[in-house]
Amino acid sequence: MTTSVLECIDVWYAYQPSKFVLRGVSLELEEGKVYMIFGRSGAGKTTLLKVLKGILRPTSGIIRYRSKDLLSDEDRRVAYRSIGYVPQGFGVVSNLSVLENVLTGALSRVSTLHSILGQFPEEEVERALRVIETVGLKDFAHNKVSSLSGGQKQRVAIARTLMQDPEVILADEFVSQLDPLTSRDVLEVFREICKGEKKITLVITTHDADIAYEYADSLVVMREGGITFRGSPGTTKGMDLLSAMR
Amino acid sequence: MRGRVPRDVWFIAFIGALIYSLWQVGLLDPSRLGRFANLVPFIVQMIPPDVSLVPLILEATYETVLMAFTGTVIGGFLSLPLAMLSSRLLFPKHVTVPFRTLLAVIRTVPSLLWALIFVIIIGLGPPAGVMAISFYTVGYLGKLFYESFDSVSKEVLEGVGAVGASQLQLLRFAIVPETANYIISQLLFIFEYNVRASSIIGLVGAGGIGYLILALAQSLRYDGLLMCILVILAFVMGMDAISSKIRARFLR
Repeated sequence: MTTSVLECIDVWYAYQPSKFVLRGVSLELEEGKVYMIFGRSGAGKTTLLKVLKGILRPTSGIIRYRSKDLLSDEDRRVAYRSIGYVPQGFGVVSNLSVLENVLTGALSRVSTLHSILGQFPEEEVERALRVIETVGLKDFAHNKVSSLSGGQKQRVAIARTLMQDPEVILADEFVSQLDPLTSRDVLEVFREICKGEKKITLVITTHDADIAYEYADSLVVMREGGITFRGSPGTTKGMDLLSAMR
Repeated sequence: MRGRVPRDVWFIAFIGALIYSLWQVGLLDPSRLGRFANLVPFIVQMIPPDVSLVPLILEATYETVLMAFTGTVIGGFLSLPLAMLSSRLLFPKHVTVPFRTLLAVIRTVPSLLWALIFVIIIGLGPPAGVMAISFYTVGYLGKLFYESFDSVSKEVLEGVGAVGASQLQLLRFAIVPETANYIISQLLFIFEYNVRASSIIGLVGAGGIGYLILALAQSLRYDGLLMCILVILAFVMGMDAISSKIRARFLR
């Protein structure tokens, strides 16, 4: 039996009055699955992720995380920690070390005063080092992020999100800035972790059909702010995707 | 093209405005222009510079540098929270606008005028100079800092913000690290500026080399004045060179 972790029902969003970027989007995300959201630029993919994360408040609609109303302030605070978000680009802090970047993932569990003074509990530091090892950056833990390659920076972003201990990870244009081989390496690591002991739901927006077919459990196509197609890679033909995008 | 003023008209208007300004400030007045002849005896009285004053000048320069350093540190320290409260990335408009206005008001008053104000309030000497430098530094660095805070990449803020970081944590783990090099560079730059400003504010009684320059000028000791200028020149050039090297390293 599959369990829904995060869902949105008839969500509308407009950055400017009556210019809707999301038009009645409904989507149910199941535990431990990998979703790839396809679509042209301006289709509403980034906005959808930001609404799901709680960065943007929808104009109308319902968003539920484990049956909790994400639009109510109290539930939103709890859910915010359980939903990881990797923004477009890398979103990592270049002037901090890999370890410091990953430790920021624990900020919601550490008091503001201690974190401001750079004092993280020993168990959080140990945990961060374990996560860094998991993403294959053990030897770079104390290097500044500015000295890393694109693929390595992406792994730092993954590690920071994992440090948050989320149940859902929303990753925007996750591998679009990486070359095909590095993209596959990074996705392989990410998928392995998400399919591991703790089942993490992964939602990635992408332009790359090959990658989507290879790594997704479920494909979602967006056009002009709405969802035009849903299916699994096994049963979906390339033409279906293309016609849904056009 | 229709409605466009010909370029020649702009040029003639510009020249006309320049001649009018020169006339108004008295630089086209023949009787005033004749006074430029005073330059020759002035230069003659300056040479050779009075080397015997060097220990006194160095002592005054030391006081000037201390004023500049203390003022820069106090001003830099105070400008950080003010810049934070002025940053639109961290606070809504009803918070940022009053603080931005405060910084603009502080910045509008030149350091010389701040020095005059503090000489009146707390009396002659370096403390008034330090206060003046601190105030000017707050106005200047506060603006530069909040502009640099606001220029931090949206992705970095979203990335760190997404973990549930508070505003202060966002400042500590995203904004300050991302702008640290720029902040250090600007601190060095304003220190350079403050050393020069500290030399000037002494003229209104706020201590340091400016005070010595005033005393020498009033007693017509132009040879001593030249020695002061040479020491300041050597010092500022040396400091510029060191500071620009350090800044280049941080901005790399």
